[in-house]
Amino acid sequence: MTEAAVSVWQLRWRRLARDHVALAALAVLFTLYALCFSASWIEQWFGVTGIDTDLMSRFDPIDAQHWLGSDEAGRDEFTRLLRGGQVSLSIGLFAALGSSFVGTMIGATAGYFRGRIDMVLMRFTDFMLALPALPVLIILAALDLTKLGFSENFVRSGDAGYWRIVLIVTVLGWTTVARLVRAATLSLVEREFVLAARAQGASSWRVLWVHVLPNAVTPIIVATTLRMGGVILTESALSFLGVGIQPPSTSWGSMLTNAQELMASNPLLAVYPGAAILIAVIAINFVGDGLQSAFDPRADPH
Amino acid sequence: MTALLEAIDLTVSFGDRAGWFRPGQQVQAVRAVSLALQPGEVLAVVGESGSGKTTLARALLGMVPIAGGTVRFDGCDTAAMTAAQTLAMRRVVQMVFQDPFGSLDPRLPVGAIIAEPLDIHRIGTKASRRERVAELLDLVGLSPDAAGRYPHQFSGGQRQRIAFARALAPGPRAIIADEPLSALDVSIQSQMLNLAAALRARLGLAYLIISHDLAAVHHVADRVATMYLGRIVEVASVDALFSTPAHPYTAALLAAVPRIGTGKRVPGDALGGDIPSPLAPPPGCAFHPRCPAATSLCATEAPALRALRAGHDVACHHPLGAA
Repeated sequence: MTEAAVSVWQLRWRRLARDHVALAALAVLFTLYALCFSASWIEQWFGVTGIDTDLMSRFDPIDAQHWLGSDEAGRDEFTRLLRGGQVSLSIGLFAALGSSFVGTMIGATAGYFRGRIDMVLMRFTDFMLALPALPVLIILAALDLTKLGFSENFVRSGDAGYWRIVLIVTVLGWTTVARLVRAATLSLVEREFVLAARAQGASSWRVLWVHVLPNAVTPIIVATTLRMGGVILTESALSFLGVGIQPPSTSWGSMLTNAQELMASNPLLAVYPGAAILIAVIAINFVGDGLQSAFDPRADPH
Repeated sequence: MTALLEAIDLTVSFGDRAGWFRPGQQVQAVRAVSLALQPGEVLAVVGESGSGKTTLARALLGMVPIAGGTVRFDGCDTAAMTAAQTLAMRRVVQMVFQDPFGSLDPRLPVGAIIAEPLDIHRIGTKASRRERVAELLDLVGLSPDAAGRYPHQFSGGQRQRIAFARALAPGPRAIIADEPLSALDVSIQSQMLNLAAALRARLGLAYLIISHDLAAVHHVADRVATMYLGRIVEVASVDALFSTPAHPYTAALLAAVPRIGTGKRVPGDALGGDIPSPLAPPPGCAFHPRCPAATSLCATEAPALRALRAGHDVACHHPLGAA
């Protein structure tokens, strides 16, 4: 009865705080992000580098300075893993948010307005789904940006490769979200509370924003978290094909690619980035689960 | 007196276009219905499931496309109204739905649900809206802290009160209630009826009540219209309709109302069969296959709604009590 003054977001946070698995996953994820984005300080602390090669110390064993040893070019594996995580984790976040946003807009528009708009948008979605993803990815990743009017300097910087991947994965990744949101919207629009809002004179915008999207938030969150894992994996595939993140910069995917030549001699070099991807993706999915129940007022146990 | 809301020859049909392998089908859910809701009156529309009551209510509000005829609000054709006029109409004609579990958004706290019409029509400030919500909650007999809770934390009866409070929020002149009681317990039904009656007296509201509960209708309505297969077959004051029903269908509905006291059912009164498919309505009077008084005329010619007495209209070739 004291809940009168509590806002929706406070309630959601309280529900999330009761979900220990989600909290643990959130802590893991937070730690991963924090570690990765303080990589340069950690490098200074240990006096190692994850970027510069040192051919005198190739395949160093694990010791106090090199927590995970060093790789085939003498770079410290632990800090290199953190450097790779910066790229993988942030690409995962941006591209997943980007594709969710695009997918939600397209799916909600198609599901709400139906008819011709729905037809056009969904055929476009089918078209995007039918595109063979990998060849398209390779072509887009190999496009010469200078021909599109970008400056030479920008194209050569690491930033261009990074944002190029975010954009490509967003453009190709929104279809699942769009279909999920459309399906949710189609069923929500038939519900009586939507009819009630329209009978009161609510605009389409209001109905979508206040009634449809908040009720579709569960599939959106689930799809976003799944996308995040998927994006990290797609980035790995691109890097594997040599069109992703270019050295000296790195990502978990490109580290995995490097390691496969060394599977026989140094299998651990593949285990580290593989484990990092695994931990990140699982933690993301658990957080997604937790958010899903936290956003559902009916999940409240009273 | 100008009717608040009036249907003239209103027809609503649902259909799908012909596909490759099947012909298109058209269902006329409402057929040439003329009905007027006067300011301050309680008009009940009764009939079996599938008779088109709900569709009529939605068509009056402009929530389903109209195939023929007109709906007038305050004498204005709603089809010709501007967006601003439509919005103004939506403010003063509110709707209460049948299912209190479906008509409230599960993601919004009750305070936001009740304040939504105020929000939409930009009535008052944030603070005055909160005050109004508290006032409305009090009016429908809920405590003010209900505003911070969610619909799923309330029982069916409480939710229907919330829906009612929402309908009252923008200060309506009419409330269209679609089977507002059918999802509720009997004890709560009577509470709701008393509440509706009290508010009517206080605010001068007009109600259009869609129902199949004749006992409740008898209790609250001024006038009653009986619908069968999309048509209005009888309209009369509640006393006239209940004491001297003229249409055999109305008579059969009344005979089907359970009564306390006699201890035994009168056999032979219950209506046989089901309501025919609106896809293929019977020719002539739509009721003739089930009508005890049907003649060959009824099978060929559809009776028009005509005045039997002043204020008592019936669509029947052989009205009861007239022969």
